[in-house]
Amino acid sequence: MIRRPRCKGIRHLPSLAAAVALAIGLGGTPAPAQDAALTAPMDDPAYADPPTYLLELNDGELLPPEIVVPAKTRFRMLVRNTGTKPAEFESNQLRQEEVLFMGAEVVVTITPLDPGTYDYFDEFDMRIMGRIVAKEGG
Amino acid sequence: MLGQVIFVVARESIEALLIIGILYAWLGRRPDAAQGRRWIFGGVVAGLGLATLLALTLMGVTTFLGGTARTWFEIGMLAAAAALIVQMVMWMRAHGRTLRRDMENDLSEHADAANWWGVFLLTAIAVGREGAETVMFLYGTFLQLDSFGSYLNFLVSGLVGFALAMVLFVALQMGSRFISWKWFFRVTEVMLLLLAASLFLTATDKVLNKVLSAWDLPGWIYATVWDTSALLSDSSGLGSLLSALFGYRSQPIVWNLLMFVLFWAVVWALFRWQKHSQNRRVELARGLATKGH
Repeated sequence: MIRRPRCKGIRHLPSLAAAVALAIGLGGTPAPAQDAALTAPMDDPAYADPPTYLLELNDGELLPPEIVVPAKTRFRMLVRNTGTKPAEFESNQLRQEEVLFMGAEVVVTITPLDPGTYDYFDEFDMRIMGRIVAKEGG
Repeated sequence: MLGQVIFVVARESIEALLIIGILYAWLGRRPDAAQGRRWIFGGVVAGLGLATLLALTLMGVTTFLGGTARTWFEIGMLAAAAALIVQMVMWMRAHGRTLRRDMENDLSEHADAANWWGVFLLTAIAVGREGAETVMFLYGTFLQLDSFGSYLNFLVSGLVGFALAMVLFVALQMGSRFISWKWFFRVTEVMLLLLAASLFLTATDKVLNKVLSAWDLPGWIYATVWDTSALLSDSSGLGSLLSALFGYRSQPIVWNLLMFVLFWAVVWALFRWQKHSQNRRVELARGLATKGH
């Protein structure tokens, strides 16, 4: 009698494991917009190698909200706070966190990415989610 | 009220309050609790000073740390915090179960002097690291205010945010009183170690992104191991909290996994070594006791 609930709990385990495995399996191949055109890097000799993409944080707004880059290639981002409040460029998926006072800018290096989608956001104002799409054979 | 202020203050305070809350509750069980708490308060004050200094460099007011120096300073703070947490857990393991006896024998007095400094440093780093961002954010927001009402609003919002984070601190103090000590000890030990792992992962992320970024390492190091961002993204509220406190990653790469394994291997080895040397000490004491007879 006492053991019953315990058995019930254990019975749920395989299905839970299956659900997790399914989620991992499904999540492993996200379908990024592979047809999207590559974003043009900055046209500035000082930021040519490796290619650098400009990202402006403006009071929660992300400009641009999506950047399409070639997969498996190192690149940089010039992150600039053009807003009237402090901002924090953050992405756990890109392994980045940089706090920026008004008018501040920082150059960050992004290590080669597998094809897929990676989120970034302003941690001080999380209303909008930006994303980097790493595209195969770009 | 300013939702953004509430949110940022609450989130940035929670990590430091988790560490301080556990230390505070743990020290409360010791006979020398008052002394321990003085070291914690000292650490909080020092941490606020550190936070202000760091915030000034972030705002460009002072540049006592250049770009490269600041990178190393950040890595150093993260690694030191992780190491201090592991050391603190080892201290708890050594004295937690045999608290009374050790204190009576005064065996641990020497080790404790060093550990008070550990408590102080850990608190200072915990407050200083996250505090710097909070100070900068609050100052920047403060500059935008223009009326008495908005100042008041700002102040109340900041206090509400801090009060929300304090719920965790209070919960930890209540937990230490109402849950059996053994269980409180076990649960907080795991929480501390997970937090240390998370800090270590962030430190090694910075090493990869800022120190090793000039070179292309072998491609497999950057390969994504799994992707659970569809299930629980670390960009979501819950996901990012789990990532900060427990080292959750929704798209880890091989580097992350290697560092994760390295961390736990070192912790395992340290705990084993600690247990081994403790057993030896017990045997030695027993040997002396029989000789005495």
